[in-house]
Amino acid sequence: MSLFKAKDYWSTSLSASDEYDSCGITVAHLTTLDPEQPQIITGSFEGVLRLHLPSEEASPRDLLLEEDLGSPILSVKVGNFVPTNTSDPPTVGLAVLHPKRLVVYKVDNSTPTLSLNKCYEHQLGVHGKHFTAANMCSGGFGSDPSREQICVQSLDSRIQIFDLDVLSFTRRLPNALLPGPIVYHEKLDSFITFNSLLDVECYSFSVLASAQDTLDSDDEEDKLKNLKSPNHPSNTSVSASKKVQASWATNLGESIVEIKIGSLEGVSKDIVCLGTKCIFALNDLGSIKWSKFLGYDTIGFTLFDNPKNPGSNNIIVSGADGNLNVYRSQRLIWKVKLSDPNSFSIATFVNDFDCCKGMITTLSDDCRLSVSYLGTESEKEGQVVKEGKEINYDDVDEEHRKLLGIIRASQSDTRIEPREKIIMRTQVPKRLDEPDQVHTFDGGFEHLADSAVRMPCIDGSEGVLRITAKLFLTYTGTGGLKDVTVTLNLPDSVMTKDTCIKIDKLKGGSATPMIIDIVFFANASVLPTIDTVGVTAMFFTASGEPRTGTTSIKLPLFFFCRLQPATKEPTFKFKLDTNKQPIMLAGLFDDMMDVLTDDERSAVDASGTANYVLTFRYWIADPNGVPYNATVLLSKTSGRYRVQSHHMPSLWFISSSLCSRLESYFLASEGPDSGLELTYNEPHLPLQDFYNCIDSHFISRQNLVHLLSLQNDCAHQFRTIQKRLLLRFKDRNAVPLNQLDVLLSETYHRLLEISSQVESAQWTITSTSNSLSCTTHLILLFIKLRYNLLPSSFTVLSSHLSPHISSTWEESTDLNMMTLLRTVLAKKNQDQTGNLNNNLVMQKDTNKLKKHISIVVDRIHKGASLSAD
Amino acid sequence: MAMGQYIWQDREIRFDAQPRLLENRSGEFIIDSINSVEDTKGNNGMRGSLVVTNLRILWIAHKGKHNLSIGLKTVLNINIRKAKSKLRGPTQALYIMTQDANSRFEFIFTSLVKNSPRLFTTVQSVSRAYKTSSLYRDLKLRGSIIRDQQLILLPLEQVYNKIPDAWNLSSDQGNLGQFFITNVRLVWHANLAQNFNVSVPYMQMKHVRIRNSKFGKALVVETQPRCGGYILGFRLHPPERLETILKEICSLHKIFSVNPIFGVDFHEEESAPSLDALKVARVDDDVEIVDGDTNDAFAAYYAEGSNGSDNKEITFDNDIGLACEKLPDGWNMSSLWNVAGG
Repeated sequence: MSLFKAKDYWSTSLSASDEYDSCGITVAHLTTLDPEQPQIITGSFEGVLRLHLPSEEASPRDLLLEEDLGSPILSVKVGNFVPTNTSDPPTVGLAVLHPKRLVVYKVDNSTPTLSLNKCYEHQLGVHGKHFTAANMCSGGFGSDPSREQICVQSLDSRIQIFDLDVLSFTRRLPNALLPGPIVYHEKLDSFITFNSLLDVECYSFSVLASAQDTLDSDDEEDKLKNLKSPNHPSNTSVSASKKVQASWATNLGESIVEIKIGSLEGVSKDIVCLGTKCIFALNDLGSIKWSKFLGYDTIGFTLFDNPKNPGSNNIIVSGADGNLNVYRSQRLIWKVKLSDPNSFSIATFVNDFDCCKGMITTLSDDCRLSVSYLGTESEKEGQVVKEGKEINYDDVDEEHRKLLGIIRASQSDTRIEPREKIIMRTQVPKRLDEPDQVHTFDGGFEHLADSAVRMPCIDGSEGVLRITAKLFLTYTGTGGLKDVTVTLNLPDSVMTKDTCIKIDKLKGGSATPMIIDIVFFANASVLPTIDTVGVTAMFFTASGEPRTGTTSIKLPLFFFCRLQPATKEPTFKFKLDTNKQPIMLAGLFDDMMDVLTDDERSAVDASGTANYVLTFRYWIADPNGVPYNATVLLSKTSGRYRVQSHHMPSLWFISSSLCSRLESYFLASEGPDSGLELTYNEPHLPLQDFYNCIDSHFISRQNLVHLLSLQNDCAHQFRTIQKRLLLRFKDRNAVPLNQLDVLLSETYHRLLEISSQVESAQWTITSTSNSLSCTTHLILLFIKLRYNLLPSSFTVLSSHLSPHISSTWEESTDLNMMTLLRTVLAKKNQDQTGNLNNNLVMQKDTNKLKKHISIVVDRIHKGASLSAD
Repeated sequence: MAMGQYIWQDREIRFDAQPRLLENRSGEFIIDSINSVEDTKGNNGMRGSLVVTNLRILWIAHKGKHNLSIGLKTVLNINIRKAKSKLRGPTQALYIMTQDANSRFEFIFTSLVKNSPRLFTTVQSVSRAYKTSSLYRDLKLRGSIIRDQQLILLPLEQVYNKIPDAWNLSSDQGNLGQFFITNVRLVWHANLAQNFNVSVPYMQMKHVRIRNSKFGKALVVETQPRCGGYILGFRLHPPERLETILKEICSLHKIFSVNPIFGVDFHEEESAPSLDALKVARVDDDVEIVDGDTNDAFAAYYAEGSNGSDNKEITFDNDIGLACEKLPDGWNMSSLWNVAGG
């Protein structure tokens, strides 16, 4: 679709009952009536020849001549076809090709109106037989530009050459079943045509003239017979000297609509061939200079002078879509739609008229003849007025607002969430469930039974500790959802039977929310690190877009530990100062007190000490079978709390709970401006203990690596022995076993032994990772409290010194520390863009890591800020 | 002697015209009338009836004053394509592209009767019949209308008189030729060159009178300004015959005015039983409401912007090598092409 339209300077409708071919029109100076204005000559298949002289105001006068010639007109050409009596060159005349005749007229304008005077006429074919014309071309054949001769091609691809009123010769072109377009190439003195093998062929005029061709139809039949019998004596002699042969032929692989000779670069003459979809430029020798895929169905083309490069031509290709495409060589430089949008141009000419140079003459498929020029205003859509033709301005404003909203939403970076979403709510009971029988885990969940925490049931038998949380799902959209998947992201210390819950159907709208009971079990083999379970619901919208909703379940403290009578074994301890009045511990941990049995409560609160000291017992026990515990002490005079334990990782969970409880207590009682300050009140950070923890984790990793390598060696040895034994087993005259069988069984036992060691090493890694995770959490808490880090800085630090222990924690943390040191914590004059070694290779020891952590803590101590601002 | 009335019905497009302009003029007759046709372009959702006469296509809304009168001469082409109708949804519709003076208008009509090709067939065949019979209505110069000194007659035409020795005075020396006076037109051709001829239908005559010229008294035929406003002078020999010829032409023109022949002939292949007996004549209100505001009904039908009026100068573009519309200063064709995203 072109943006521009051609504008008509002049146009007229030829008779609606006529039909035209692209050869049936030419634009030329045929009469001397108006030397500035060329005439448009059209000849229809109905036999009507017309001469039009375009004028500014279209009027009936523009038709100069209309004559019914009585038989169909295939082609019209203007050239110097009229012989003169003297030695002067021939004068201008009009050649009209009918199927059986070629007539040359001279246009006489001596009378008030023009009249056609027939100069001469040729009956085509010998005696007018067996020759039905298809098309013609003209030119100074034989390199004689002074006299224009005519070449007529028949429907069966024979050509007849006429030199003015004399028939020169008739030849058959080989390889052509149907006539293709034919043109005369002046420089080569050759005809360029297109045959049924999809070849463009070049026939030299001199070769055609000197070759002998059989004219008689009888002879032709003979010749065909000769061709069929190769042993015929005359066959070789005929083909040797007299056969018409093409100078060259080039296969274009596409049917050619039209051929023209022109110069596209202004250097030499090119042969321009228009295919049904492509355009080709060939040089004198027939090799393809370039071809261009046009991308539309072509109808015809014309060449015209390129004023920028005199001597060269631009191209106009007419497409079946009604566009005229203007090319300079291969580049599209303009595209224009015909003024009548529903038609296309079957023939296009560019001529200089007296109104302007370079006017385009087109003959459209519905017989409209127009002389037009390029419009430069873009095509406007017809304005459509709504039915009733009364504009409701409120509606228009509303629509405008809505559109502006859409535009704004698409321009802003934040995308607006669709309204349809899943909202989830959770409810956690204030008490643990009644302990259940161990066979809770029947049905594929037996593996949980080993690490689940045991509790006495009411009837005295052993049960399992568990809590049932409720998850409420609501879908806000209309209709319903199918196949919603709810996924639980559990911390190590929490277990459940199924982490993935599938919901077949979820009703939408105001339907009552769907309730799912989720039973959690505590894990007795690890220390708790965090108390929240992540919940993600995933679904697909009606349009197939995946969407999610998330929430989290905060499990209560009593799910992870229980109070016990106070113990005082302070191997590890730290003080936490507040700037507020002390809060009684029994009140602060009231939920813990509530779940106790009466016996337990009296034991814990033996002499009313529960307000000042509480000892929390985790489910996990140390190697001696004594459960890990942590104790919180409150100073009676000031808001100072002390947390202590004989096992450093155990401090973390209780400390974090204490901090969050203090914060939420003061938030509830005094509001957000309570000004609560928690301070870590010890001279040093317990970095050495942290390093020990790192070391034990690192050693367990090293141990595992060592064991795995041993296992590998052992397995290799086992396989080698096996192979040798098998060889001997197959061998007829086997050599003695030489104790290989003993070796095999020894190796096998050793392999089993190492494997069990690997298993225990893996378990050790799990437990040391758990300890390390807790310790890292604790150290982060200490750093945060001691140096009063901003939340943003704390996020940076905790994402670098990560409490989530991966399998390569030491290496990645070392790299993270170095990154911190080179970026936000870098000294000002230090190069910040040094290359870091990104390879995570297990180091021999952790000295470097420890050093780097120390430096980071040191820089934070000196007041360096971690956040960018 | 003055005569001649301008016939606009087939040459113009009128929007929301007064009801009396929609009535058939003399010589105009209804070829087909199709009920339940929607004007999909301008009055989408509105039902109306489409009336095809030998001169124009009329669309009249069943309710309200909306109507269209499309002269057949303005029709450029007719297509059948998909359109979106409010009353029928996406459906086949008749697209009529027209040109009136300098503006192009497009009309889309949808038949609301399912599977009825009548709308398409009637309009297309009537338009074709109109286009192939232009000699009945249009002035023609230098046409191929004479063969062997005889006029090639049109199907409904009869030669009433043939007058030899009629001189045409268009050129300085005058040309001897002869007149053919028929029931449709006046034809003159030169004896020496039969394509030196003129065919003037009575429809295009504005005045026919006798005037003095430098050659003496002459018969002067003046044509309607819409078809060029030519003044053709003829001298007859002997001059006394002028009066009789003038009288003959005038009376034939009078007959033509009462009962003109526009050349569009038709016969129905399968005709419905005569409805004339059943027809209730349309009673027009005797109150004519003349609109104060000149209506802008045509705005909806523009096929392109209404840029017909501002014809710009034509210049030769040295870059492309073709004639083009003159551009404002500071612009050239390649910069415009680049802006247009070519």
